[in-house]
Amino acid sequence: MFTDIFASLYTKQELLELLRQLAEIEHEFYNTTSDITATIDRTLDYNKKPLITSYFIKNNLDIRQKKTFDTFFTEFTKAARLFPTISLSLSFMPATRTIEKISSTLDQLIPHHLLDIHVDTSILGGAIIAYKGHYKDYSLKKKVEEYFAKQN
Amino acid sequence: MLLPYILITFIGIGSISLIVYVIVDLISLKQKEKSLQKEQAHIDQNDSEVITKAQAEANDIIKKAVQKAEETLRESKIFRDDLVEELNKTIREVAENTLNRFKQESSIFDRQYQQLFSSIQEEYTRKTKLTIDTMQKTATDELEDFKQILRNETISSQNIISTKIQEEFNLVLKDIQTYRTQKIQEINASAKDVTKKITEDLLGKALSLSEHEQLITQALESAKKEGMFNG
Repeated sequence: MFTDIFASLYTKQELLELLRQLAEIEHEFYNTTSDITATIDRTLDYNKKPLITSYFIKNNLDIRQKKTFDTFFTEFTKAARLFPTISLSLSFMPATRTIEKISSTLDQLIPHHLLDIHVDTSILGGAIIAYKGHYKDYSLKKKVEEYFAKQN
Repeated sequence: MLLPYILITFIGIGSISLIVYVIVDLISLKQKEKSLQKEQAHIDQNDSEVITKAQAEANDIIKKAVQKAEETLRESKIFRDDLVEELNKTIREVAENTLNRFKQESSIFDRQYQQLFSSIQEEYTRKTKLTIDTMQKTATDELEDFKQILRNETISSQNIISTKIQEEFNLVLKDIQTYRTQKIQEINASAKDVTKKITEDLLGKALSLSEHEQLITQALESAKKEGMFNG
């Protein structure tokens, strides 16, 4: 239903930012003097706007209609809540290209997902992964500790 | 009519009689007073004479008494001087006698005392010498005993001390060994901590972006292998 839109999102942070922008547009519907098209152009990210408008066109919906937009916003929020999210603790905040690489690797494992990335410099490298209640520590720090523990 | 005249007459006569009687009585009283005054004067004169006479007699008695007292006093003084002289003499005699007798007795006592003192001194010297000899012998014997005991005790003490020193030495050695082991463990732990910290610092800084990405990819693949994403 929102496949194209979710496909453009790599992280939970991006999703939250999109939801914030949609909420801001919805709020503007209550302002009678506001030009809703201009608000949409101004508020949505450049790479998200075509996907959003495309969704409305494909489904023969008028994005300028408050009721239509409200329905979209409500449905999209529900779908977002159900979207699989993988929590990753990394030793650095990866750039978009690295995130794309990570996500691409994960796509082979879990086709539709979001990354919830946290930075913890103490783990040195690698990742701590949490998914659906499971937790695995693949950090470099743990490997170093295990190495020195064996030395005792 | 005559009665009032009679009454007046009687009253007049009575009054006159009364007046006469009073006057006579007054005169009589005056004469008695004069008589009494004369007697009083007479008595006063007698009293004066008696007093004067008594005073003269008293003066005479006093004078005689004073003379007598002075005489007695003179006699008593003479008597007292004699008495004192006599007493002094007696005291001197008694004192001389006593002194002489004391000197005699003292000389006897002195001789007796000297004899007694010499005998006591000799006895005391003898006993003292005996006591000292006994004490010296006892002391010598005890000293010998003490030396022997000391020799025995010294040997025994040496053994005890030697054993004790060995025990203490073993304890100290054990403590040192424990301390050494503990310190080596601490040093090793510290060294490992330092090495670990250095390793972590070096690893954290030395890894390139591609190596970080590789580690993350490896982590995801490991998670997959372990079935983390199943279901």
